Amino acid sequence: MSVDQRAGAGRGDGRLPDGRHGPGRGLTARDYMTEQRPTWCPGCGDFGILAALREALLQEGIAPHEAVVVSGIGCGSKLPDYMRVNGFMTLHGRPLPVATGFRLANPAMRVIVVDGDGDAYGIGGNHWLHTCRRNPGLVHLVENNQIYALTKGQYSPTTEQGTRTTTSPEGSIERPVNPIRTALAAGATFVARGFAGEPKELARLIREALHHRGYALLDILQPCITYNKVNTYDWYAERIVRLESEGHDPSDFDAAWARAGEFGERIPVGVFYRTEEVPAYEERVPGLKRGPVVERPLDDLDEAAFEALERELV
Amino acid sequence: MRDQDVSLVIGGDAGQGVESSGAGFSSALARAGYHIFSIADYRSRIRGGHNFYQIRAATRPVASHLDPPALLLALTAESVELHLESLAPDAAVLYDSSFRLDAGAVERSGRLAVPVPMNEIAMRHGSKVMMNTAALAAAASLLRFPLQRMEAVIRQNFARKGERVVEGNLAVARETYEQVRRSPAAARFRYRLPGLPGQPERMLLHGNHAFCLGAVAAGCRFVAAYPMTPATTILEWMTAHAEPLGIVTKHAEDELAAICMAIGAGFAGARALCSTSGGGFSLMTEALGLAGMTETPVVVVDVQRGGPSTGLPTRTEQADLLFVLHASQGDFPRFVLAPGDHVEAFETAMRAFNLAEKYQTPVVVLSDQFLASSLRTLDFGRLRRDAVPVERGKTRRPGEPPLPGERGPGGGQEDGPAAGRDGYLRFAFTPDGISPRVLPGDPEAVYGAPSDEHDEAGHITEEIDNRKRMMEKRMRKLETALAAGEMRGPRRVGPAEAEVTLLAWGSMLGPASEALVLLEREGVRANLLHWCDLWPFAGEAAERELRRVRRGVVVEQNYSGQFRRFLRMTTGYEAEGLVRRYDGRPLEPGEIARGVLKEVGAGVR
Amino acid sequence: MTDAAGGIDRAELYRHVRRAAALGSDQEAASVVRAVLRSLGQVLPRESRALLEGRLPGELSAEMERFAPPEPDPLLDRELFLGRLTNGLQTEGLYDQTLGGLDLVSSHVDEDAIRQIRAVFGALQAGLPPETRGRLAAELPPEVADWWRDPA
Repeated sequence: MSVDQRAGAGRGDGRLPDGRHGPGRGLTARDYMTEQRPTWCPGCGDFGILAALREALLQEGIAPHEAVVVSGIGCGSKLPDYMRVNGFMTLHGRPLPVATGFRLANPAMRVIVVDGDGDAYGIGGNHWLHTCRRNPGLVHLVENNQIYALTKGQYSPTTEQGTRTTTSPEGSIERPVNPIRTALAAGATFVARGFAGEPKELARLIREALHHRGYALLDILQPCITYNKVNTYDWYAERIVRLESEGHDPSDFDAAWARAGEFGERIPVGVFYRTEEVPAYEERVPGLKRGPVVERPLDDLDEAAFEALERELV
Repeated sequence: MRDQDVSLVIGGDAGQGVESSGAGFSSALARAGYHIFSIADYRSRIRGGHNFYQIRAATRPVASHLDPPALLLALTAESVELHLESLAPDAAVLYDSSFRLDAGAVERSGRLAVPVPMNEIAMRHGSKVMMNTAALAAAASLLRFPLQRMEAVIRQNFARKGERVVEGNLAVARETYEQVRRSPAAARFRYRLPGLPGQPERMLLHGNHAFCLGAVAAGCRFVAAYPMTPATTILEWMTAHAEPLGIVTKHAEDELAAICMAIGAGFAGARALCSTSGGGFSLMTEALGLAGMTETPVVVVDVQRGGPSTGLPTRTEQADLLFVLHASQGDFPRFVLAPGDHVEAFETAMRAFNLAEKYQTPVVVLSDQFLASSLRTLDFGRLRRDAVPVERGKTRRPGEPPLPGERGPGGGQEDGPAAGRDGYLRFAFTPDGISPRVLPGDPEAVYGAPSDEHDEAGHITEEIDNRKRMMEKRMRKLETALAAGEMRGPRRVGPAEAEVTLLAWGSMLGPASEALVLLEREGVRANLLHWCDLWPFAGEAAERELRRVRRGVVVEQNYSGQFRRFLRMTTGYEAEGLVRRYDGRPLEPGEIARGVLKEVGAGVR
Repeated sequence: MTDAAGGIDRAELYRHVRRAAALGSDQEAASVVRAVLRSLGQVLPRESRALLEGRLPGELSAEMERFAPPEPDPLLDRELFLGRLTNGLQTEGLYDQTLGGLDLVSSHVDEDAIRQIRAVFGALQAGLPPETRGRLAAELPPEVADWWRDPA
């Protein structure tokens, strides 16, 4: 088995199977490949997310050096190690603030956060809530497998109530977080849900997120083939309904709120809510009016300006 | 001209504007040509409780507050009770005539009681709020400080509140000033601050100001913090200047976010700062290791306050030393610097950013409430930007020419892993431990930086040999820094040969330096070794100096004698004595001198 | 396995898969067959699906259409193809007394899954003209096509 195949790439020589290339920049799927072999379990939903992200960047013409993928800690947070892109694999729960810092220092680069349900909705929950209302230009892909897989099977913030795991042998007591509604309530300006089992559709959603002005949350239903025997590929596939084909209007907050309440027999996927009316955080930061701070020379404070600072202290 | 060195105290309730009165008077005295050193002693509460502000004005530069004060400006009757005993024997006590106070007790203690109807004058001109103005004018009058200097400060401070407020305060000041000038007590008061003509204009700044100036001089472009006393003014000053200077500042949702944002910005290539106090630093420890592991430059300033836990939020302590030296799990290189005074705070900020980028690792600056909040005068030209030119080491921006050793097999090591398609190894094994760093965004150098152990290319691995070599590579940066002479040994103050040597670090530089003069008066020849650079520790330089110490007394602001232990740990040197304070109040020169005499006892001379 | 009209007999199909993939029962074989058909449904174009569905018992051809998108998903690779099979295999071991959690035994479950897939492919290909086999191979994701070409 070749590395490329293992890594869930497109087919053949790295070109996309239907002969498509990145629009106009000479990019091919191969540009996003590395030699690294994922350590994910065979059939892991993360493969679908990896394939979708590469496809989305390719289709958007975003070259590997123009993006940075900031991840947390968990199976899926190893993703930036498995594709050719700038990567920063940070701490459990902390990729959002790291990514925000990066974005504010260099808004010329595309910043994508990849983490899991434990990272985003659990240990990093505070950052998540504040990121929603802050609205920095980040695309946030949450690999939501409803379990802690890297620590081998404990319940997560999205685990369904009553699930037996090693830390809930009698069944988990807490009700799961509803990430869509929580994000809506916290003021997120782009809230969507995708499914790792349909990477083409997922890639389309990531592209939409990349087009969004501010913070874009994409909660991704991700089967964990090893530790989650309930929320399987087929379990999701049977329940998925498409907001788009059901005539949902993503500009309608109340409709989004109503649809976000569905998670059971029907699980809506697609864009729940989107508004481009709210400027991205970095658009309003006074210190960025002169452009990305990383691009300015470090010694651009001239003698007169420094003396003026001193004179304020007289 | 006679040498003058006068300390005065303004005491009152929290919520009575003690801080702004003190700062205003400090500013007036500084503009009149005096050298100033002021500290505020305030409680965490916004209202209620006793606060005081101590100003020292002198005809020569001063490096510390100094007891005993010659004048107490009492805004409450309680402040008289609290401060009377600590005043100079011939001090004056200024208070409001309406206070129910035993003036006889003041007089019996030898001090001069100066009741002034400050409240009444203030009320007559409109509002009780102006009582502070009356008090300052009374103090000025007693000290023979020119009225017009007070008027200038009043105009400046109240300008924003409108002409009516300015005029009201001016009227209050004039009337009080005149009344005190004609009072019989004024004639008996021997301390004078008539102004020093012909002095140059000076800055009057806090330690935090000095640090901020150093940071912007060094090209700091990103500040993230969560407000925490006594570090808050760093974030505020930077934010106030963010737009003209082109600096991004972010008041984060918590300290974990603050340091992570700074690390993200540092990774992107901005010179990034995170300011906090001990409690916030505790929250940041995991991320400190992230910076160490991913070799990301970041500067964290810990403005220490009294701990543990919430502790003494507005007071000073130097009890984070051993914590900061060891904070976060695992071994990784870090720098720890503890500036001694305002000038050193400025310079240390500049050095910190250079060290962070040259050695690609976190730098912690240990300040404290005493240094951060003490206000002192500095001559223009004392903050020398050229003392520390910007150096980024093996760092380049996208598009700049490749760095030496950036390309090639294994980043210079033939048996390293394949460099991947980019031919760039972000974490290349190098003899000095520092790998050439290309900032993200370069088409020829796409790479990842994991918090997991990784290989030279930045891929996660737990392979044995790689782990050993990568750990050695990272830690080698400390040896490189020491060999390059980055780390300074102790600064010696006073004579080369001395009977007693004070050993101090961080903000104790000023008080300990001034204690030498007091010891000299007691006939004890003393000197001081002061450390700013604590890690990596310049052991040889320290040992060279310590060998000459006859009797060493450590002076520091914590319970357990952390620096004394640190010296033992790094050099085996065991100090004979320890002068410490852990009640949150800064050690004062006289107290240090007395403590040193007690520690070395009869053995001196 | 096929009747005169080229149709595939369900019982024969299950028996073959059970034998070729060393499964314990026809019931297990049935669920494997259904899973593989669902995966095939997601990666094959409509006409190719029709070629297979025409030969399957009605309920099984419906299985193939169950999650079939309007257009095949070109990003569906071997991992996602076999994911619904590995998800059903034994992947958790006993409690891990050293590290906590459940020891995982999932590293090589793809080998079992591949054997099952090849078994189903073997049954589907019986009586299929070589040109149709070749056409389907060209439409399958790279490694899945290898399994198709090497059925069990």
